[in-house]
Amino acid sequence: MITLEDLRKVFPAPGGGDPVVALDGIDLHLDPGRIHGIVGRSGAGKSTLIRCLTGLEKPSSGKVQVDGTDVAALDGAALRAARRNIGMVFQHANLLDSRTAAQNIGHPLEIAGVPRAEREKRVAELVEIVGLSGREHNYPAQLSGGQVQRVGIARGLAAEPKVLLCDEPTSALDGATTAQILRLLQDLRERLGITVVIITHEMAVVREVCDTVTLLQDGRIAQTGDLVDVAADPHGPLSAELIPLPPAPTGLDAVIVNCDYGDSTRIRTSEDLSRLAERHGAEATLVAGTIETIGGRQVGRVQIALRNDSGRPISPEGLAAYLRELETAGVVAQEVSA
Amino acid sequence: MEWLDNPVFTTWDSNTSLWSNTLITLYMTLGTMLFTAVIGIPLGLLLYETARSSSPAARWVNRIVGFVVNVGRSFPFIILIIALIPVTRFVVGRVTGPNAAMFALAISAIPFLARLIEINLREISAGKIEAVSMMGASRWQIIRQVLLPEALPGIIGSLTTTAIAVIGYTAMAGTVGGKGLGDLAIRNGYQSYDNVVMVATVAVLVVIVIAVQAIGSALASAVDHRAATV
Repeated sequence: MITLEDLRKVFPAPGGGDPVVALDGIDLHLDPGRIHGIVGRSGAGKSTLIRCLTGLEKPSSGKVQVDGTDVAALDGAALRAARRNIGMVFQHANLLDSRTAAQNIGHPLEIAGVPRAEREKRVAELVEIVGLSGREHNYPAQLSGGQVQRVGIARGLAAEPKVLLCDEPTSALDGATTAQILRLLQDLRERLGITVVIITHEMAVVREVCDTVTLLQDGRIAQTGDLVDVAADPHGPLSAELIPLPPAPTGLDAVIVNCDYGDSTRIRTSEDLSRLAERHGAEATLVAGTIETIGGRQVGRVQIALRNDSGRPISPEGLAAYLRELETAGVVAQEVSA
Repeated sequence: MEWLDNPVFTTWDSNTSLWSNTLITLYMTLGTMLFTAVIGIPLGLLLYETARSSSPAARWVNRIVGFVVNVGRSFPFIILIIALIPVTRFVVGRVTGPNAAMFALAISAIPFLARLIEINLREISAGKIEAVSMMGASRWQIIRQVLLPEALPGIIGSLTTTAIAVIGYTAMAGTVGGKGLGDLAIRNGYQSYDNVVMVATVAVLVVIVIAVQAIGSALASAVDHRAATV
């Protein structure tokens, strides 16, 4: 549905210094009918990527294909027509205060020149789909944050776009409202078969709804793939962020080791870790852990305390042997420095 | 109640009467505001649009219009009236009377209003404009469907402020025989040592200004949907 080929965007430096490379050769393919997450810290290039996707920004080089059209090559009326293929949802919804919820939702249809009767019918459908019945004649100022974002989503869907591009759609919402909005997005994907792209800095959003995830770092793709694979890859940069560990306990007279067992076939549970430890004359106690089921697969990261038979911390030799064995079993293990 | 016998209350002659001069002031203010709105609002829009454009031609238009507006605003009104006399003769056909004064008033009020409108438009968040651009809207659709309706409460506020400034400037319209309350206060009040005329004209001006402000505020809040009124 969306294909980016060697996409580069360079901004000239304001003071005449070195130009700023916002996107540095992005190759990405996003399949239709799925929910794609794009994550990264601020300054990683997420915003520039969206602006290139929507034609608000012209790439310095490379291709941006959305549903078969090269957005980067379009201008004027052709670009405006192509934009109707992409529904956009913003962090603060960006509704017009001078329009009611229904008028905001129907706005893209008004711009596309859809006759009033047809427009009203479509708006009524959308109000129903996003669960706003009874509030459609309210102005944005009279709606809650979650309702405002529902209007924003309905408006994004109005012109029946192929792609719904969501820029930090839940970052301004509280936890319960975030969960509702994410459920709505999931529901829309299932009912309408629409391709959803969510740009976010919230890992919880990715864990909750995304099918694939792409990590941007300094304008490059640091990791990309199906959520299940990325979460289960302990060597990748994303697994630790997707499955975070609670802080290490302090004051324990033991060696603390973080284990990310990803999709190792030999180590599946914390018991497996203990059994392995016993072979090196040590006792492993689970002190912290996160086990998540992502895409029907269990993925976990645990923290264990290692002691020998007499209750003292494990010897350096024993630890080294244990860590070596974990490594061959495909577990990423790391001693936590006290 | 001897003071009530003053010709300012008892006559209808525009040389002396409070009543006919009140009507003249209202006429000059309304007429000036009509021209000022019709020209000042598009001019404010032009200033706003050309300031954000990346095209070099637009930036030049912005510089030239901005310069003309600044020059227009820096003229003391009394000087402007006199300086405009030849132009007024050409446009209005005569250089004295309320209509001639209205021409000078509008020339002075248009740049003032244009700058206020530009500020009103700048207050609209870029996100709203971007959201509507993303729907495939043309520049003209954005002006009609985003800029003007979203800025409407502010635009009404700017029109109100301009109208009140114009009421104040009408006092100087007497210089070109424009008449009105301000002129009455100066000639028949201040220069004739008649405190009754002074107080009466000022009182009527205060009432007019309060009324204009009240109407403006009421209209602005009627079209303002930003405040939560459930």
